[in-house]
Amino acid sequence: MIKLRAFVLDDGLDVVSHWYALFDAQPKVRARLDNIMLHLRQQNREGWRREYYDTLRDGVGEVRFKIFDVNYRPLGSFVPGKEEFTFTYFATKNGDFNPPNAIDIAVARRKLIEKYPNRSRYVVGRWNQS
Amino acid sequence: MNKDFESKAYRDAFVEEFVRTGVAFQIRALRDREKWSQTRLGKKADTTQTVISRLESPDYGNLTVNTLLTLASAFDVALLVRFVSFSDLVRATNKLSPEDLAVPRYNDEKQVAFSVSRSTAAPLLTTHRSKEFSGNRLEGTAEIFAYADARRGTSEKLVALA
Repeated sequence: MIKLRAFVLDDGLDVVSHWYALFDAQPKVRARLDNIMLHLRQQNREGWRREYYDTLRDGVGEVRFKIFDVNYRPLGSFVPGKEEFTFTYFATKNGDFNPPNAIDIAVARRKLIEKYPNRSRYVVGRWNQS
Repeated sequence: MNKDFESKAYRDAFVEEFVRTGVAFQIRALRDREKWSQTRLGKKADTTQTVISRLESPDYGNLTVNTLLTLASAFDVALLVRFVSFSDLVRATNKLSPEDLAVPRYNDEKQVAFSVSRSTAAPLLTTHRSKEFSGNRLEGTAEIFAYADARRGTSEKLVALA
């Protein structure tokens, strides 16, 4: 079972809560990510692969899904030595990433978490995590 | 239950996505267990690799019961399509590991059910007041369910086939 974490933004909100708030009016988008994460967190690491996940660069990977012709790409990283995955940035993709520096942001946040572990926290109350 | 379920629109979306995503993950889990390529599964299901690829992607899948029946036959597993309560749906979201999804083929279930030794099964059956059984095989559906019930947790996949 993979435990899921989220990067904490400067205002104290984490990226998962922030993303779900943004998509409050789009239940289908939220429901798709919910279902993918319910499945992925019950896979072992080898189960995190296409079509639902892909490894990018510098320790960053992307969860992959498409709704209404929008390619959603929540980015994140596995925590070294632990069965944990931390979401660091929620991007979209239409050929290129939107924003174009999405992976760079995710890499920078991964490094920040490694230096300051309290910049991430467990996702609670979602994906059957308590 | 997720507080999002208070929204009817979310509930409807979740049910649809649970089916789409669930089928996609389960086809992949079953195919992985068989060590079949998408092409090979396509041949067994009398369809193409492209169709299988789309079925394994919740982004594209056009699911029909007929398609699911064909895949069930290809994997030699059963298919259960029924309406359930949201409580049951939520409980089901805790059983999505590859082991949960890659359910045994008919022949594997049969082999497990009938290879239960008397020495192993008899004490368990006794606790369930089951009657005697002969030789090395369990007799009848009731005994097999009793045995499975007695070993709950390790033998939930043991299904009566008698």
